[in-house]
Amino acid sequence: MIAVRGIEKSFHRTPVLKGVDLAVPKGEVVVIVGPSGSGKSTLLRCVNFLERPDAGRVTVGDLSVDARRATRAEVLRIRRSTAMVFQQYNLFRNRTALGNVMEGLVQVRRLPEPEARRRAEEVLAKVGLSDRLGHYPSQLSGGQQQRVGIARALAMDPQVILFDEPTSALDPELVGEVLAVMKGLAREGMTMVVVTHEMSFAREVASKVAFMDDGRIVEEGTPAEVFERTREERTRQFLQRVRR
Amino acid sequence: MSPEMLELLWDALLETLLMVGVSSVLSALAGLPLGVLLHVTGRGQILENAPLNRVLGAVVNAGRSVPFIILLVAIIPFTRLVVGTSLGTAAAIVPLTVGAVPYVARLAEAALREVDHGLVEAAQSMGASPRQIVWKVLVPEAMPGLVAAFTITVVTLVGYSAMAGAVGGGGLGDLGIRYGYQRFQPDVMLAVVVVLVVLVQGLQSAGDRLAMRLDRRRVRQRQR
Ligand SMILES: Nc1ncnc2c1ncn2[C@@H]1O[C@H](COP(=O)(O)OP(=O)(O)OP(=O)(O)O)[C@@H](O)[C@H]1O
Ligand SMILES: [Mg+2]
Repeated sequence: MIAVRGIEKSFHRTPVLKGVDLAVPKGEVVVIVGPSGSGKSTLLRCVNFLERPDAGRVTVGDLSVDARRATRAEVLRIRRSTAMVFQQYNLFRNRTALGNVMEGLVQVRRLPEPEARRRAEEVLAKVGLSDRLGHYPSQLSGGQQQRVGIARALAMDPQVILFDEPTSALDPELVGEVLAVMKGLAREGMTMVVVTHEMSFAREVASKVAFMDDGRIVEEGTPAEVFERTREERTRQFLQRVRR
Repeated sequence: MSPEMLELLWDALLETLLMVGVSSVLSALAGLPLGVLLHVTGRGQILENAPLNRVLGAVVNAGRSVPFIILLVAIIPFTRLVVGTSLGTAAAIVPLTVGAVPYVARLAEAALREVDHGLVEAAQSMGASPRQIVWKVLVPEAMPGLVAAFTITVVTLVGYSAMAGAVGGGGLGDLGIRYGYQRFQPDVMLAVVVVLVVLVQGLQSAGDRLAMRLDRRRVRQRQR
């Protein structure tokens, strides 16, 4: 399981996270929704220390650290047991789909190349890209690129995958294929934290929905609780806006 | 043109190639790491270090602000220390290298800055170390830009090497001045210019082709 407690983060003295608690039990999918600028990306980035929190605790599996004091080695351990999927895919432009997935296995995991290749082929098959192994990102559609991004995360065998708006950069007709892959992972019991505006995905897949506003988690519960029996006015307003 | 003249031209070409070749390699060996250091110590980068970045930046800028012809003369004592003499082709390599290092560093830094920071973050999120990020992400992803930067350096060094002729470095520039200008042999001058033009064109297009070959970002045809 992964958890954060009391996470605070400011940029240039402007508080962006004001004490966030969130627990994600193993095998569950937590979907974070909320207006732009509410701190969703920053929260995800604090979990794997792409941003260092100013205060709070981060727990991933059996490693629990005081975020402010985490050593370089602890940060690396946390990063190696988590994986992230980015809105802009962030694929290596000069590597093929296979190369993108293998790189972390060879460099960070130190797998021998044949084994890394086997593992990369396996996860690329899982995201439906067996026939695109030798393609460069520029030869792939956005949806295919994002699926490579997911395969790359999956290959590292992480305890949790953090998704930051994985479908927001995609043309509408490509969103479905990426969500389908994510649903498949959820069914197989992958632990996931997903920031998204896809409410139907949240409804269908989430074990828990957390609504963030102004640096805090304002409301959390099952999709039915948050969407149907909304308690907070701010959540209601936000949901009305995204439903239109 | 007489056979003797042709032989002079050939020797001068070899001298130029030697000066440019050796100083290119040396300046890349020193300038690339310096450019990497400039980049990774910059704001928001993986080894952010403002004081070190400022000091390095100041040194590099100082190096670039000295006109080459001044540098050539100013570092004569250093040249003597390194090669034992301040005259000749070997001696010319010292100021050429010293002059090119800050350029290589800045050009390399610029090429590295073109690498999407998202790629660095992707590597960080996997738990890659700064060293792995430099060697496996920054340098490979910036390779087309680095090759282009190196090509510019080599071409610039061809021009500088002609000036180095002024301190007895030999080479095509020296030949052009001595025969073409001082002894007024326009055919020699013309031959020197033609050889220089062909040389620079050749170097530039070889560099362009290599950079293009390395650049997968340009691949556009979708195979479905
Ligand atoms: N590196 C940074 N430097 C300065 N300010 C930042 C930085 N990163 C984020 N912020 C600010 O922090 C606030 C929260 O940003 P964040 O990206 O976490 O929001 P978000 O909820 O993900 O929004 P969106 O839905 O638009 O992605 C914003 O006001 C943003 O401008
Ligand atoms: Mg965001």
